[in-house]
Order: sequence, then C-alpha cells, then structure tokens
Amino acid sequence: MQVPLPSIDLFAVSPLIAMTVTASVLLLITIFAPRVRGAVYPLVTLAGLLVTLGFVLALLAREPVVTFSGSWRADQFSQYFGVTVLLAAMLAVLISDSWLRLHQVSQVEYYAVLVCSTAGMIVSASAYDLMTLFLGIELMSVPTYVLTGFAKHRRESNEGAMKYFLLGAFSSAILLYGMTWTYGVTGSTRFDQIASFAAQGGAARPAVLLAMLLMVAGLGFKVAAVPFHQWTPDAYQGAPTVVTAFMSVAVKAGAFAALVRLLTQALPGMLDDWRPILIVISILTMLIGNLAAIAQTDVKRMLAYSSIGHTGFMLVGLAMWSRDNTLGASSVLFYALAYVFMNLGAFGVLAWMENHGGGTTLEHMDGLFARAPAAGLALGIFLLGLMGFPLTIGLPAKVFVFLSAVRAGHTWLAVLGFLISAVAAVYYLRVLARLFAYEPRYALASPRQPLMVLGLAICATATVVFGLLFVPLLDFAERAVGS
Amino acid sequence: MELHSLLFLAFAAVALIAAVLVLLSRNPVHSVLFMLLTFVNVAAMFVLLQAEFIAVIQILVYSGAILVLFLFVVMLLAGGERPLPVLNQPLQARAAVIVGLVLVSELALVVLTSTVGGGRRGPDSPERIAAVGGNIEALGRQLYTTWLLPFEIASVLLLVAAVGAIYLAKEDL
Repeated sequence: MQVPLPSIDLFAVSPLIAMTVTASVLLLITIFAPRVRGAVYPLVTLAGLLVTLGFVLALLAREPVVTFSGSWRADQFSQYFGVTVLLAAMLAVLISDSWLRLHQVSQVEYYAVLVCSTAGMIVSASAYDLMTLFLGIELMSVPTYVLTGFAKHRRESNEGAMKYFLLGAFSSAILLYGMTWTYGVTGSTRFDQIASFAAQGGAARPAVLLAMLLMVAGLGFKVAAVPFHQWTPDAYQGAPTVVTAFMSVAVKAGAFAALVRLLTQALPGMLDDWRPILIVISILTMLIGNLAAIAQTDVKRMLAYSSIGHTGFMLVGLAMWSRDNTLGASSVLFYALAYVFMNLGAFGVLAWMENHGGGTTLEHMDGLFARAPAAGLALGIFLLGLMGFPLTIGLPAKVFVFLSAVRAGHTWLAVLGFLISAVAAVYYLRVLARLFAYEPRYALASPRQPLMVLGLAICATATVVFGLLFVPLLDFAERAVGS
Repeated sequence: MELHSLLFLAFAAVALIAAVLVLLSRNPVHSVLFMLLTFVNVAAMFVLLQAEFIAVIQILVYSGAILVLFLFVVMLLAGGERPLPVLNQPLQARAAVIVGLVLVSELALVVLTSTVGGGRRGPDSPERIAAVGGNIEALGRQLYTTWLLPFEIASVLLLVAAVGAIYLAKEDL
C-alpha cells in the first residue's frame, strides 16, 4: 500500500532539528561519559545554539516556504524570532554557568530543558497551523515550569513552579478550547484557511469571535497580560534568578510570536473585533504592572511587575497593527529583541549579586557602583534602558510602539503610554539612586564567573550600541512583518 | 428527536454531572471514581460520533492507566476527607461564580444564535474515512502524513516532560 507523503522541506525545519539534536547530545553525554564534568555542558549547549543560529541565518536568505502540509512556515518572521530566542538562550547559558556550579545543580538537565524550551519558541514562531502552534507553546512552557522549580530544595522555587504549572496548564486548556472552537467552525486548523473563512463573516462570526477570545486569553497568560498575570510575580520571584532572566524575555518573545502570527495572519479579518479587546488589555496591563512595581521593596519582584508593564507596551503595538500600519507589528518585534538585552541583563546582574552573597532587596543595591563599578554600571544601563532613556535601546523600542499608535489615529493611547512610562521611571530611578548615590552596606564575596561577566558585557554593549544603531534592527523587523 | 441524539445528550449529561461531583466530593477517592465515570461517558460519546478508535484509547489510556495512577497517589497520600476548597475563599468563590456565569452565558449565546450551521465542514467526511478502510486506517494515515511534524514535536515534548519530572522527583545523586 502506497501512502503519499506530503512535501517535506527538511532545510526549513533545520533549526528545530538542530535544537533537538543538541538536547539529545546533552542527555547522551551523561550516559556514555558519566565522568565528564565542568565546562563541557555549557560549551556543547553554546555550540548547538550557534549551529542553530547558523541555520536560522541561512534560512533568512530564502523565500518564505510552507512545508509539512501546512504545519510549518519558514519566513523572515520565524527567523526573526529564531534569532531573538537563540540570543536569549545563549545569553542565558552564559549567565547560568556560575549559578549552576556554585549551587552544584545538575547541569545536564538544566541545559537540556533550556534547549527544548528554546526549540518550543522556534516552533511557536514558525507554526502555521493550530496543532503545531499548540505543541510549540507547550514545548516552550513545560520546560520553563521545570526550570522555575529547578532549585528544588528552596521553598519559594517550589511554590513558584507549582503556581506557574497549575495556571499554565489551565491557560493551555483555555487556548486549546479556543482552538477546538476554531476548528469546529472553520473546518481547518491552517492559518490561511482560517483567515479565508473568517474574512467571509456570515452566520458563524460569533463563534469565531468566541474562539478568538479564548485563544487571546490563553496566550494572554503566557505573555503575562492583565488580568491573566497573577502567576507572574510569584513565578518570577521564586524561580532561580538566572531562570527568571531567561524566561522573562524568551517566553515573552515566543508567546508574542504566536500571538502576532495568529492575529495578523489567521485572524486579520477580525481586526475590528480584536483591536478594542487588545487596547483594553494593554491599558490595564501597563497600569497595573507599573503601579504595582512602585510598591515593591524587592528588586527582583519589582522587575517581575515591570515585565508585566512591558507586556502592556508591546500589546499597544500589536493592537495598532493593520495592513496599512505594519509598524504596529514590527514595533512589537523590535521591542521583543530589545527587551532580551535589557531585561536579561537586569536579572543577570541580580543573579551576579546573589552569587556574590548579596541579596535582591532595595537595601542590597546601596552603593553597588562603589563596591563593584562594572556591575553597578551595567545594572544602571539596563534600568535606564527599561525606563526608555535616550541612548539606550529602550527609547526606540517605546517610541516605535507609540508612533504606531499615532499612525493608527489613536494618539490618546500613545500619550497615555508615554505618561505611564514616565510614572514607571519612578521605581527605576529609585534603584538607580541607591546604586550610585548611597553608601555601600553589604560586603560582596568574589567568586570567579568569567562566562557571566561576558554575558552581561554583551547585554550592556548591545543595549547601548543598538540604542544608537537601531535602524538596521527595525529594518529587519519590518521585513519580518512584511514576509 | 432520534435515539442517537438522545443517547448523546444522556451521556453528555452524566459526564457533566460526574465532572461537577469530582469537584464537590469530600472524599478524594470518590472524586477519582467520579472522574472515571466522566471518562467512560466521554468514551461513549466518541462511539456515538463514530470515533471508535479514540473511544478505545480513552478507555485504555485515561480510564485504565492514568486514573489508576491517580487512585494510587490519592490512596497513598490523602488521609480521610478534605474540606471543600471552594468554600474556603468566599471572595474567590464569588468571583469564580460571576466569571463562570459570564463564560457560560457567552457560550449559550453563541450556541443559541445557531451559528454552528454556518460553519465550514472539515475535509474528513464519513465517506472519505470509509474510503480508506475505516477509522484506525484514516487516523494512521493522517498522523504520519499531514500531521507528521506535530507528531514529532509531541515526542520531544514528552521527552522533556519526562526529563523534568525525573529531575524534580529524584533524590540528589
């Protein structure tokens, strides 16, 4: 019996293959060479990530291709997010190394799980039907539940992992329910066919609307948008700081990739329905995330709330998307990449301090610049970036989002976003003042952590350099959205 | 209403009631048994929808394997009756009732405005399934041709879930 296979383009899925091979190699090393210790795991992981990045960059030169009977679409959009999450994963490997060694945490599982999560993000960004998208979201999330609880002897880590897991499973169920509704009504899970059906409208429109609501709610959990954000502070604070650094930027990028592709490629015909919803969610997210951050006394928790606030800014951009205003989507892409450097760096400095015996409360920030000038300067740069200060990448990120709102005729939303980010500057400035102006209060030990220093240096350099040379990045994002 | 639809509704009603009882029973073992009842009824609904293979899998995997594990865990861990979690948090309970009612009324609105007929049918009609030789054959073909990539991704997902679960559960080596 002959069963015809669909057209298979292995090159198009090569990033995914490279990632799964890397994860398998990591797991196999322990079986066949159990005595291997030390620097092998981060190096193998980095090598795997670099090879994957190579495939992604090679794919950039190709025309968009849809393969595996419509499950996978390799285009500039997926490669853009591929670059973003791979950079995040590489930086995460660099800053995780010393934490794993200092706490003698099992390295194999850590890196294998991290690589699988990154593979899930690549799938989320490349999926072109709902089945693949759902599996991508799960492959991205399940490893992050494990990573959150990776310090398994710490109570907060367990608590954060449990909350994240339960609410994550719940949100996945909501997402899946929305997808079954979509399939039930449109008769297809492929984005292009959903789009062609949704464009017709007709009697089935309310059902598609319900499906869209459920899917936005499910993905809203993953990007930590209000009112689906309750897990975020506990999971981000409970997780080991190096894990928080990774998942706060990479999971957000992966989930935004899914959200942007779903709304702009599968449901562009429902724009008038999802735009008001996203506007309301984005305003709530900006307000609650940033206002709650002001009240925090722990910098790690403060950054967790600030991460909710940044989701709000990104949602403004997405809400402003239309076929004539692609800046809406490309500003989200730009923001996602900018956020990698700034936020991963900020959490990275906190992890650096913890490794040196410091803490993450406000008092521990006192005089960091006097005590450790490089770390203090780096944290200062990241906080200025998150604030949206000129000469950092944070400014163009915010400006493009607000510019897209102005172009879409929602100037009031841009003004509101600007006002909220001005209010948000309060809590960043509070930390900055302590960093530079206060007397040092706590002594810091000095373990050697060369990889982490390298990672943080890359983040800080990128935050400043791309703050000046942001045009090529925006061009890349524009091309990604246009493909 | 024909017998087929009546049976479907009956199974659905039992499944729903059992699902509610899973949440409301004070004894965890009873909860698991009500869950079993839900799963068996869902399997019966699959049979009525001519998805025999899925029905068998539902019984074998969910009712057979997974629920037995549940039962083991509950019997090993839980001692006696538990308080009803719903009643402990009056504020949360009220909010949950309101949000639940909103969701149900939304669903009811969508279903009652009779939009289901306005949908588009999927490509896998009963005739096409019969043409390739039945349920299992059609599913197998689909799984290894159209859904090849998601199938492979699911295997990676299971692998990483197993690695994570073992890491979190094992003693330090």
